[in-house]
Amino acid sequence: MKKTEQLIADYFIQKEGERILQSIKDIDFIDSGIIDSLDLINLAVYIEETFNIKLNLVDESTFNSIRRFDSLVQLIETSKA
Amino acid sequence: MKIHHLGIAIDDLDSTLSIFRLTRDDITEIVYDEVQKNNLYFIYIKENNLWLEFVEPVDQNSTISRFVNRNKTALHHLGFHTSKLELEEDYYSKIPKSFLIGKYNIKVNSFGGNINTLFVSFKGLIIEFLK
Repeated sequence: MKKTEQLIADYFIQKEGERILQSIKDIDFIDSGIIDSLDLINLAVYIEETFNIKLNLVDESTFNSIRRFDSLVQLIETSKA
Repeated sequence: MKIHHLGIAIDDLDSTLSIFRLTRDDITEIVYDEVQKNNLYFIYIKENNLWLEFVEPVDQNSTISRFVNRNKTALHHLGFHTSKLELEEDYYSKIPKSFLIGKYNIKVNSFGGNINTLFVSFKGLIIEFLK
């Protein structure tokens, strides 16, 4: 895994356990119940602390990107550039 | 900053009312929030000059529905009155670990009619500003 992917995976591993790695790239985090409204904020805080990126949670495209692993990684990579 | 209301997410209205020694007769107003898909129940607590807002999710796929599934009944947000929503938005967008999480317009007669609201979070605390 690339560094960004690993750091995001680390968040979900800490939250859900190592087993999440089996499905992390296939699931919608919100539809699957892994993230609720408070988790979304906790994830945003983690991203701010880890990557120094402040997500705009009001933006619909940002919200949709957070739902899946690959699009979340892409969002972070794009924001870092 | 003056606290205006306590927003409490609920999974059962009657049991939550009983905790506060209230009944359905104490409910001032019921509003269906079409955007966030919640039933909102407003109760005025005269002794504290404070409102209670019970938030009951209707859409089972909403984030607040998942909040209730996990927490059952729990404090969801603190509501503050503000005269300058734009200043609050500007202020909280700059504080580390603080995020704007929603802006809505809703009609609540108990709160004076059409109101604009701003939801922000600081770490795990959700604050609603209403004008």
